[in-house]
Amino acid sequence: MSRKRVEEVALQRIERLFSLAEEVYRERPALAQRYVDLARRIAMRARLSLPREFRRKVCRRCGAFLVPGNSSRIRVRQRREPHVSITCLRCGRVYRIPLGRG
Amino acid sequence: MTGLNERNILTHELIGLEVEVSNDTNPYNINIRGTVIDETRNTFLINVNGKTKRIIKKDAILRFKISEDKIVEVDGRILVSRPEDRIKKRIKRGW
Ligand SMILES: [Zn+2]
Repeated sequence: MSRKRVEEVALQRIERLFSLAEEVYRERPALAQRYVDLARRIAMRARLSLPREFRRKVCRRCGAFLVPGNSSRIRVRQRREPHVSITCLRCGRVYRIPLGRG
Repeated sequence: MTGLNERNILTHELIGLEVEVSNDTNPYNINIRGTVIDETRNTFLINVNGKTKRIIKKDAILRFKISEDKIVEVDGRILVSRPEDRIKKRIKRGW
């Protein structure tokens, strides 16, 4: 199978798995995490990085599926530069997203 | 860009699809129908009206619903592989 075909199928699988993860998260968070783990492994096999829209839904340190208000905490902070902080509630890693001056 | 079809099903995502067991060495499994909720190297977990059934791939013939009007029958033996490993599988026709 050509590289392009593998990539195409990988992206479709990743999309499906993330959308299923969102769907089942409330009732079955462990299954949602399983789908996200699988999506990341598929990306690795196809040598893709996760598409942007999904990258921020996964903790880069521990791989947790980040759901605001459940498995992650999002705060807007003004100290020093205005930024948004996202905390992974599984491992504690904090991500800062600087806010461009608007 | 083409989606899931009968040519790429062996490398595509099976979790989330509706499936029916059309044959199985275990007669109790025949006609089980539900949604694939997980996959291991050797098995599928199928949600059948809220109950989870484990089907051994190599023992089953499965019918996957790949779109509203299309069903593909696959010999489970050609699906024996971890889900993330199937992505690079070459296509062999087993049906
Ligand atoms: Zn984490």
